[in-house]
Amino acid sequence: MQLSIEEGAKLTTVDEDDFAELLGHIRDEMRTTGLQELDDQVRAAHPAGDTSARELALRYLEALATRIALTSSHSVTRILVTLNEHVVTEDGNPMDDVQVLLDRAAQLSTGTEVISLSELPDRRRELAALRLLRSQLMEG
Amino acid sequence: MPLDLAKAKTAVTTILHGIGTAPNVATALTAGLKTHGKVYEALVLAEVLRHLHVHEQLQPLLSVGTKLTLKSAPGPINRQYPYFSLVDAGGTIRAEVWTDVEFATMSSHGAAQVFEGDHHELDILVTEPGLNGHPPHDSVWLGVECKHTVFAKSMLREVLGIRRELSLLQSPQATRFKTWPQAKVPASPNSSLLVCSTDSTIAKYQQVGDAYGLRFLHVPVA
Repeated sequence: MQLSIEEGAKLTTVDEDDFAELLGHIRDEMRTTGLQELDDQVRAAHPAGDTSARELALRYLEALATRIALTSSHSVTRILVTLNEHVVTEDGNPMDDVQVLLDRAAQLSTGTEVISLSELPDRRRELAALRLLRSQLMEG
Repeated sequence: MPLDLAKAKTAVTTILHGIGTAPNVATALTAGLKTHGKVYEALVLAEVLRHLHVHEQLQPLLSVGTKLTLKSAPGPINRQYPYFSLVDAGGTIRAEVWTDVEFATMSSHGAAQVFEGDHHELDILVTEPGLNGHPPHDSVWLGVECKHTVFAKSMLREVLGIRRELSLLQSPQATRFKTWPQAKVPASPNSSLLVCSTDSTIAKYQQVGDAYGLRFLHVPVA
């Protein structure tokens, strides 16, 4: 992923008004990319007036990073590593997937009985980019 | 080159628009399934099993196969689905670990009829072994709620309601555990209740938790 920020870049020109504009941009982008519900959750937890635009923007980016990590196969891989350090199976083979068994109605609508979470996309690059951006904004 | 507002906005746009929808996720969304919630549930379950193994010397044993199987909708215990047995050093199964199971509430105990509010879901339940159906409130060793987003005050009210349907407030008494997650709770029956969140601010509610036998735990996503 090509980003317009660089490792070690210093934040020099973002003030509270800029953070307010950035916050509006983050929320607009969340809405247009199907993350309205996440926007609602962050807003409910941080009512307007209680938090500065800077803090709120950083909270949005943190919530976004969490969401991206939870939709990435690398998180499932880490879960399986932990499970295999502490769980034994009946046949002695390692655990190899995390799956979700759909309810009857969902099975009928999708034609699928189970969904494998190991098949989620790997989003480590997007996650790293977001965390880099957040850390640079925090330093500013 | 300094990072300015324009660059920060471009970065946000690039990142969010770079997140495509994989076929597997599209199927999940069609089914109304929030995969991120299930991934967090699996992460917390792995942490709970790790703690029970390391701190309580209880060996988790997967009942069948090699896959952790979560469910998209809660229900009663169904022994056809995989679960974990917790085996002590002597080889005795002390408890079982289930996901997406509804327990039978304290308020419905002994009732002749079943009503809508008589069962409540907990994401993870540690219960006495060998149960079927909805485990009664007094069979619960540990209940775990997983919150994969900012922890709002409404969630605190929700878990206080769960606590009330598991136990009555009592002077502190020993739980089923030596140390983890709690050695004592001010509750009878003596179930433990753990609330895990990706939000580090969850710790600010621990004072309430201490009064009612709830433990709040920040479990971040790497």
